[in-house]
Amino acid sequence: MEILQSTIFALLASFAFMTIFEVRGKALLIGSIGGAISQLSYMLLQLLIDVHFLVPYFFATIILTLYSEIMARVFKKPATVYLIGALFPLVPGRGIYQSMVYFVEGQQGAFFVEIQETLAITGTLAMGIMLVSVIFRNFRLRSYFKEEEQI
Amino acid sequence: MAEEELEIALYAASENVSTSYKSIDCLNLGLWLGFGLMSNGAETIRVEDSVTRILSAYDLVNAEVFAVSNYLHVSALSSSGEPISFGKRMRGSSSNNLDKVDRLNDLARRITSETPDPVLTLNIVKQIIDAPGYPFIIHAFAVSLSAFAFALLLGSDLVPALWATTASFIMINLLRPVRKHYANPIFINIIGSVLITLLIWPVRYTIYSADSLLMMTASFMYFFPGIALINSTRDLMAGDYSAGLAKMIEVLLLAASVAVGSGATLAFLGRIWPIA
Repeated sequence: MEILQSTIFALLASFAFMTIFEVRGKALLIGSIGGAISQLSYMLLQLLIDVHFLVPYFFATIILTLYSEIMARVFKKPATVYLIGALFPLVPGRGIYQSMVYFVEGQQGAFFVEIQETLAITGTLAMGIMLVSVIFRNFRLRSYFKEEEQI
Repeated sequence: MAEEELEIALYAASENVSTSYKSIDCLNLGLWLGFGLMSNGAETIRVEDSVTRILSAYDLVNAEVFAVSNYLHVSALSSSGEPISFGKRMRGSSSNNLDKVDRLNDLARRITSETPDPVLTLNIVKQIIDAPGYPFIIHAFAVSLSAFAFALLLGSDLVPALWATTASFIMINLLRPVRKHYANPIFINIIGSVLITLLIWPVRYTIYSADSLLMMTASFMYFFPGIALINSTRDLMAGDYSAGLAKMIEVLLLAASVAVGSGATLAFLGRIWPIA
């Protein structure tokens, strides 16, 4: 039940962010589904695999980036259109804010623990995107134009 | 309207196959399209790639494209062998309009495959760049919805989530006139975070005080520079370190500006209005 609720909230959050970024039409729906997929995969991985806390973030990002790249190829749109809004549910907003609160309150120890964890999550998200993007990148942009040139 | 103009440009191209277009027009088209992509939040590598392919499609000799996060330069040789070059600088930070990025990206692919009349196509590019975004009320609704959804996603109760929604709605309305006069995103983030902190602070004196952290976090997500972070990552991965690092600095400054605005307000409120 909790997983289902979180997935729906992630879908709503992604929808809101994609609207803020002016995404329109079918892409708005597809990107929002991406947000739900990223949250669902994160929660399932967290539940099923008892590993380091960064691992679910990493694989959830890989799943989301794969989804975005595939949708980009299917609908001939930039992958970032789907990726940006859908990634927001995984962004460690709470960690960023909590770090700042600890800093303001002068709790140096708690600040360093929190900021370390937050940066680790942000780095993991970036690595997940990089890994998939690097595989798709050259292939996608080149094939796009090649296909068009051949017509 | 834009579609109709593109059809006219394509028709002109098919009727006038033997006539080669002026290099200066083709270069100008590439420049404006690249500028449109850059100013609406596309990755630098996409800007360079799209413009390079457009210039190649028009068979421009020695065409070169260089882009950093806020500047685009294109150059080529004219049919008479004269060098031509144009540069366009983006003032301030890019906006986040992924619809325009998508439309310009789509147009770039069509230009590459169909090489339409560059003068007519330039009008379409300018129309896309100048096209209005969503009405403000939809933007305000989306900002409020993002705070509501994130508050619930982070585990808050319904009432605090609705409080965060209201705070975000008030904040975005108060920021509207500020944005008209001061477009600097760092300044906007500081003002926005001060407003959110002020609007959510009173919750500490209610039974929902435990949720104040979640409410603040949910409301601050709007200021998180998501597009800059992802573009920075993709540019770095594509080997464009100058653009990637410049955007990464932008991400850090924008995140720090939220921390400064909220942190200073929290410290101030804590002194004048301490929790019993």
